[in-house]
Amino acid sequence: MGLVTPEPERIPPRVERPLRLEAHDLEELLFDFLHEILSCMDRDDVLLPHAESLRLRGGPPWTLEGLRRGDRLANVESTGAVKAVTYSDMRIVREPEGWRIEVVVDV
Amino acid sequence: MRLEAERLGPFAWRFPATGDMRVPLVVFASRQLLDSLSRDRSLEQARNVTTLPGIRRHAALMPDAHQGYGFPVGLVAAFDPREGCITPGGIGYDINCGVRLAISALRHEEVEPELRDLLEDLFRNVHCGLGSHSSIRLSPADLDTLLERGVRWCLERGYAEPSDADRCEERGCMGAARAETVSREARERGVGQLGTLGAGNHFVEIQRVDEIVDASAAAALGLHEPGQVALMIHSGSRGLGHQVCTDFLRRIEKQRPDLVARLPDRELAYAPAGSELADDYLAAMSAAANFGWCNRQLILHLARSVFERRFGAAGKLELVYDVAHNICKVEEHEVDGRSHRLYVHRKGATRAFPPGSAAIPAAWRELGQPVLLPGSMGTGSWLLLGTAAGLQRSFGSTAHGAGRVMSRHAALRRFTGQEVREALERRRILVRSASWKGLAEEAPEVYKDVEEVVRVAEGAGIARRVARLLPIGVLKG
Repeated sequence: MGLVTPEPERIPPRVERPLRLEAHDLEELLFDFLHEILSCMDRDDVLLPHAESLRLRGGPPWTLEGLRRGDRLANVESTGAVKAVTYSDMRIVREPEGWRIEVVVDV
Repeated sequence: MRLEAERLGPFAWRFPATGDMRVPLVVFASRQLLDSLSRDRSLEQARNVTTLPGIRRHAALMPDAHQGYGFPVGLVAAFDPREGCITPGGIGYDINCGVRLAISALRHEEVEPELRDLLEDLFRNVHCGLGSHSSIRLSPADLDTLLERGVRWCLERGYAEPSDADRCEERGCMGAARAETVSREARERGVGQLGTLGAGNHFVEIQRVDEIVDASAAAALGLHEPGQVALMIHSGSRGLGHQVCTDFLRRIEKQRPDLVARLPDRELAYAPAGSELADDYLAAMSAAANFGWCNRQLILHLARSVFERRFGAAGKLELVYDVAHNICKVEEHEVDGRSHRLYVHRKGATRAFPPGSAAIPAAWRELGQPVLLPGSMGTGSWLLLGTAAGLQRSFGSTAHGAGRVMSRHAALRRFTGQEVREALERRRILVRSASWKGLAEEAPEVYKDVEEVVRVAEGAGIARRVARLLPIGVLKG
């Protein structure tokens, strides 16, 4: 999200949307999770960087539910444009402290 | 992974087909550019592409190439339409990202006193930056028609001049387009973005002709003397094109997981030639390409209004040419002494057809196809022409621009938007950007030296120089 806005943590949660995704593997789930952020920007003019009350259920299929929050794009300071999420070099690794996730986006 | 190259010439290297490579890889580069290619994954990614089914002759890596997703940026690869494939990763997410150049009769000294106001006018009229929306309302029926008719739709609506379509690749319309293959989500993302610039490395640039190398060719194309003012536009198919690519990558994964599982990189997912999947992707990609041409056409239309309101008839902008640098075309090329139809994928590469090609407008068919290579905000851009030698060496293709050498994060650590703007203004280049941080990411230093790219392209025989243009005013998202 740092490639869209410099300080995503400072975006107030004025807008919310339900989150419900289903995918056949974790990579697809992650892809869809990030892709939906881009779609909402183009379609609805909102940037939703925060995800709360997340419930991940193992699969296949994998499901992710929760709530996205953010603000209208007009209120957000932007930097570059992320055109797309890619699978290139995508890594999702479970570690003792949590998850390590690496994603390459097209800018 | 180490690939051993044989030197073909001062600017060409050949990596023979070894292991599971089906064809060799030819790289057009100086020693300096080859060294930089060796530092990222460009060569490895190009090598992976040569393992795809039905690839023909060789894969060609351009002098401005760099690491991409699946395909490197700057690769040309051609596939048999019966035994081969068509791969969205070989076109890229921004389908028909491309460049167009328009020329005016204005001179630099006439424009410079009004440059700041002119840039502000452009900024007000050509919406740019994140979340930019079109001033043109499109109905769903309009969008369907535009997706299938391309620039002809713009002409019918009064957004183009009769000669504009002729001066685009494919005359601004790929006939394989079928609007019904474009998803609802792609339409929703793109419908409000026609005639907008977007952000990132897209720009509208007011330029002046700097150096004319081939006076006769330049004059034929409308560039008569140094100091003449031009306009260059770099943009693509916006959210619609990005979504089409995503849609089809996902569809290939769902319908052909067996095929994807065998690939060295998931982003190389392909639709087997002759399949319904391949036909649908070609149709959707063509529709997105048509949207890209219409997008650049609308931006030109808006810029024309700004220029003509300010400068009258002298401010008239004539389109020189429009090129795509992320696209797949069905073209005839010679392989093993015989002519074959091929799916020619150009990702970060520009078609550069030779003199005599029927694809070139009749007015300058004898010159060769115009090619546009944008540099960076602080450097020149080049107008070149395609060559006969390029047809065999690179499927009639050449570079597309300067290519990045520094990541956006690294650029943000090193530069501020304010510093970039001030440094450019000291060189009498004005910038108007929707985002200061976005401007920092596009500092001239983050790009390769376009002069070196052009020198190598010409030295390798895959383009020849006509004229250099320098920026005087830049509009960025």
